[in-house]
Amino acid sequence: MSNTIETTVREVIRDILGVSQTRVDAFNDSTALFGSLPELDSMAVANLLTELEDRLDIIIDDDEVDGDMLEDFGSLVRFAKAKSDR
Amino acid sequence: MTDRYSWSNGQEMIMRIGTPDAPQIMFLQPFFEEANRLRRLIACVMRDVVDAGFGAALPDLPGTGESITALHEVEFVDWRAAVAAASASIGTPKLVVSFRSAALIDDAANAQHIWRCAPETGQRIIRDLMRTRLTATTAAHNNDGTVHVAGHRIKQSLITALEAAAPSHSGTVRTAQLNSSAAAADVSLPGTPLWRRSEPGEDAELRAAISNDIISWAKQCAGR
Repeated sequence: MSNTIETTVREVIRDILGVSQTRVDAFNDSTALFGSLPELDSMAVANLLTELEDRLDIIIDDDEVDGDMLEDFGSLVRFAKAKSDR
Repeated sequence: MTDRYSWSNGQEMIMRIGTPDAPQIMFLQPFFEEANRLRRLIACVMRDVVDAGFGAALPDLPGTGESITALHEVEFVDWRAAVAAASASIGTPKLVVSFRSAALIDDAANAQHIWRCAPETGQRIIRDLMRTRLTATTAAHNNDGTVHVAGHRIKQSLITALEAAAPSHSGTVRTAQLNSSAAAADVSLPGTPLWRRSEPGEDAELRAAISNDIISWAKQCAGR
């Protein structure tokens, strides 16, 4: 895979939430997501996770999804990396 | 032009554009929220195929669009029966285009050729719906055999039937996927998955890629 996982996560946030490229480029590990990013409501979370599954070829179990994983950009990227390594 | 078709349990609308004596292409929309997200894209593609000399038809399914049937009364077999009836009402077109979860019912149209955009299994559709429960309390089981989930009230039996449903066909199928998807495809499309965006907006590149591929496929299938 030529893209890094972090790049894929950025692209999914851009494509699914409609966050601009400029804004998503400025995300860092501590950029808060769920509860802070207005585009990210519960329906958007479902779509975001499903799209991550498709692009990274991973399966995310329901019981793996919690507030911690979606707390900030860094935690979501760490989760995606851990899943992809498995 | 808006027409009506009758299925075993009622009447639904079918939107038709283009000349009726041209080869017809019936379009099928995905279920639930994705129908709203893709409505504009599908309408645009329908206009493109009409400009290329085809007729385009878009039926409402029971419990969707302008239907007076309540969604919570709909069974999966109703959708399949409605697709068969809609298809028959326009002379059983040779060509059907289905988006996403509509791949689970497009074979019911009895068309010879099917073009599918990012087809989905029923299991994944239900998983997506149920996933909204994880971060919100949107799913609630009622005591009348219906479930409130992701803003819809639907029968538990519809969920069960969808979970077991997978795309099937008797004629030929051409499958399109976004190039960001890992799924197998006959053609890769550029663009974003509008069906997963809360406010999909427009994607001119995706629209053009879909329309161009459908038009060349349709010309080949219709022998034009």
